[in-house]
Amino acid sequence: MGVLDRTEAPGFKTIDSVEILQAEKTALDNGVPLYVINAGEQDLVKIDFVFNAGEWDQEHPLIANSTMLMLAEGTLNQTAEQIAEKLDFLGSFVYYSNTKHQSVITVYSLNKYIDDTLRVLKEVVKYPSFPRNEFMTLRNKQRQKFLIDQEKVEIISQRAFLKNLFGEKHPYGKSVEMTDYDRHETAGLRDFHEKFLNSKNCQIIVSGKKDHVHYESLNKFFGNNHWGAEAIINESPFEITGANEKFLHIEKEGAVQSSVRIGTHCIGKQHKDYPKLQLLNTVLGGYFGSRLMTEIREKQGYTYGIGSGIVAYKNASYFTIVSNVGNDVRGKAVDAIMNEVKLLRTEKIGEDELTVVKNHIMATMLRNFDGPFALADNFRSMLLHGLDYSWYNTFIAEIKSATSEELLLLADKYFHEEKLNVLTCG
Amino acid sequence: MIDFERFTLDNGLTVIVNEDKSSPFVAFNLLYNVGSKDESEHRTGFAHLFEHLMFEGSVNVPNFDDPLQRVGGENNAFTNTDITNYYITLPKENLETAFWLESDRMLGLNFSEEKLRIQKNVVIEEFKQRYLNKPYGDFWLMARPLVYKEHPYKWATIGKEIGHIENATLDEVKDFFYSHYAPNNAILAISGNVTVEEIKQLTEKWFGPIPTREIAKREYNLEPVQNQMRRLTVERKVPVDNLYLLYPMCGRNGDDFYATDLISDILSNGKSSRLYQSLYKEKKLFSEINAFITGEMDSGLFVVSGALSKGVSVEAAERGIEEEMMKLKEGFIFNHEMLKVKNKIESTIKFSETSILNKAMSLSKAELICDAGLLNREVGYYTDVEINDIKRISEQLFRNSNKSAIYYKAQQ
Repeated sequence: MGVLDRTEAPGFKTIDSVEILQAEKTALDNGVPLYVINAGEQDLVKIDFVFNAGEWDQEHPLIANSTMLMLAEGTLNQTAEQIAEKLDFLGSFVYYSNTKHQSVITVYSLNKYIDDTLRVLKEVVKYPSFPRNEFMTLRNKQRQKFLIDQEKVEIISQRAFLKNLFGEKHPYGKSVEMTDYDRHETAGLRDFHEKFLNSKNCQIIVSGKKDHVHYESLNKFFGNNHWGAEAIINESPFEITGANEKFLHIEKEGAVQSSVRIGTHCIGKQHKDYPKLQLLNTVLGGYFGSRLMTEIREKQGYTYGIGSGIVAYKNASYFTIVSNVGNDVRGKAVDAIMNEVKLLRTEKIGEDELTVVKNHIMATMLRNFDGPFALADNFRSMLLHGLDYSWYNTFIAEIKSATSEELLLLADKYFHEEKLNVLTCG
Repeated sequence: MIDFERFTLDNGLTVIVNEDKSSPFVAFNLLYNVGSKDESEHRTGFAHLFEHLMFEGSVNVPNFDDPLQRVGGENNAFTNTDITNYYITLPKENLETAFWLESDRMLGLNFSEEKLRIQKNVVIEEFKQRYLNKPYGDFWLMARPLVYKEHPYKWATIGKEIGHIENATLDEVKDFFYSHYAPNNAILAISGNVTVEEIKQLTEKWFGPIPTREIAKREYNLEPVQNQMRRLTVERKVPVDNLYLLYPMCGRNGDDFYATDLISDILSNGKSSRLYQSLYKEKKLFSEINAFITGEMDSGLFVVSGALSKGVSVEAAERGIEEEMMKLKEGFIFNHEMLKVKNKIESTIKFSETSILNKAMSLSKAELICDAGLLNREVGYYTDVEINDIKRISEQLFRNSNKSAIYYKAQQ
């Protein structure tokens, strides 16, 4: 063996394509769409019940979230304690969550206990009773959490940033107020459950090694007739009324760091420029070696972490740069960030950097589709945005073909530093 | 069940390989047997600061992250009281890049004053972000010196104070490297679509030439048995009162480790657990309540932490927790309940085995604790725990003389 040359990087292969294992679409007997992702080797499964309604659809703040968190807190035939006891005994994990447009119940279970787990879930999904005692306990807990969150600079700045962009009436800009907790009652939860958590508004994603027991149990508990009220969903329109102040600072007494939010409105996943803009975002702040990390953290030491991202909601999107920086360097940090943004539209990205970022994005794609649970998470997002698998082929083709010249133009069009709002809190 | 093979290079590097064909990625986990317990009391935060410097370029490779990102890799690291752990996942075709990068930074670092200065700033901002600028963030900075009086666990991994990080010198950094970073003080674990043969070749090629180094001897004191209750009350600008009870317990290798872990599960794993049902749901003393073990190698802690409900006195809150512990001490434990916590452990372990990175991390850690095969014996250790063990350990653990209480009070 010759002498090892450690200065020379070993050869490598780039990822040219990403094979995506597609979900197989079937339906339960009552027509509820069932998407099966047959991957993985272990005898365990993840099941997502996805209901097409979220914060966007709630009449008052907190409703969607509390409805989900209260589902297992008592049903027609069982107390919260009985439900918890059964699920814990089976070693099953059930999570209740919601986003702006979806409410989701996620179940992780060993195959051998899936039937017992879904039997409990049937009660939880179909017949929650929203007992007032349990509700008050949850409400107090949430209120305490809110009080603690209000002390965190990154939470204060995020809320103010969104309000400035979308306006306080818009579901994307609205934030919860202390007084919302006092007005919060179970009636709203019952209403939300009745309207939105029913078979007409439900889709199910099963991921794991395919096993007939998944289908049989799901069909037995959720498939033999329609359940819940007939859904009439009027997607109410909301106007974006953000003040769009260019500079805002919120004083937070005693803070030793300042939270920074810089950003503006942006295009969504359906827009033709989205893939290349995502590439540009990655160059700026979308990975560990990004320009912002290199300049603001690694060269200047102003922060522990900084990143940027495009947050694509269903009906609107925004671009944001996020960091916590030392109070003493707040001004310098903002200037340095703005300078990096400006460079995107004034100087072409070098070929080498472009290659690294393209490779990174391709590997990230591969990662996002690695394993049954990752595949399921992605599929849920596809359902939300109304995308099919061809979207990813287009995305990959666009990333591969991107040139420095066109990225320069995109930066000028979407990420012009004069269009960005700067918000600090500290 | 995780199948693996183990081999050791002549220079002392231990390697563990788990073949898993299910992923297009490989997980590469390199554990160094060095943590904040290996620091001098006057230079705390050093092991972690050093972890940051490991990303600043090595003897033959000026930049660590760039070549890795170029081949689709991702990586990170963490430091705790006992270990410093570096991990990479990357497409399997490009595995050799991980060997190249990790072996070069084991060989030697590209030290410079400027890099040290910048990483000190980054770590100081991390200190502020995670420990100073958020409610209750400084809890461990106070708790460790209260519970540990002798053992170096008495300072937090981030460091006792920012000044220690500010004062670190380049010579100290170099010295730290050569006395802790060496093949004979590291464990490499790999999980993914690989063969043992292939890993043997790559390890021999890249790590084989690195010389064995003399590792600094561990000379710290073990923690003496606590014999008196300790109390600390602090007032801070926080919105909600918190109460923490801490009890010293056995180390990661102790006979009672698994049984003690099950006690924390009985008390607080899941919504049917005792503290959740009794103190949050029924008596409404807390709006949030948890029990967990910290798992340090030499001697760990059993911790109960809770956020008090509005209007509840700290005495009533503490009494509530004590009453639950009393039930365990009296042997008020059901077979059904034992089965429940054991089922949950089994399920948790099975789900964790779906991730190659989890497997690689757990294999290296198990090898450090005793041997990698521990991973496959753990379910059995949990299963073997009996009601009598829970009773016996609770009696030992939950004594007043073994307790430290921290009352984190909201300033009026």
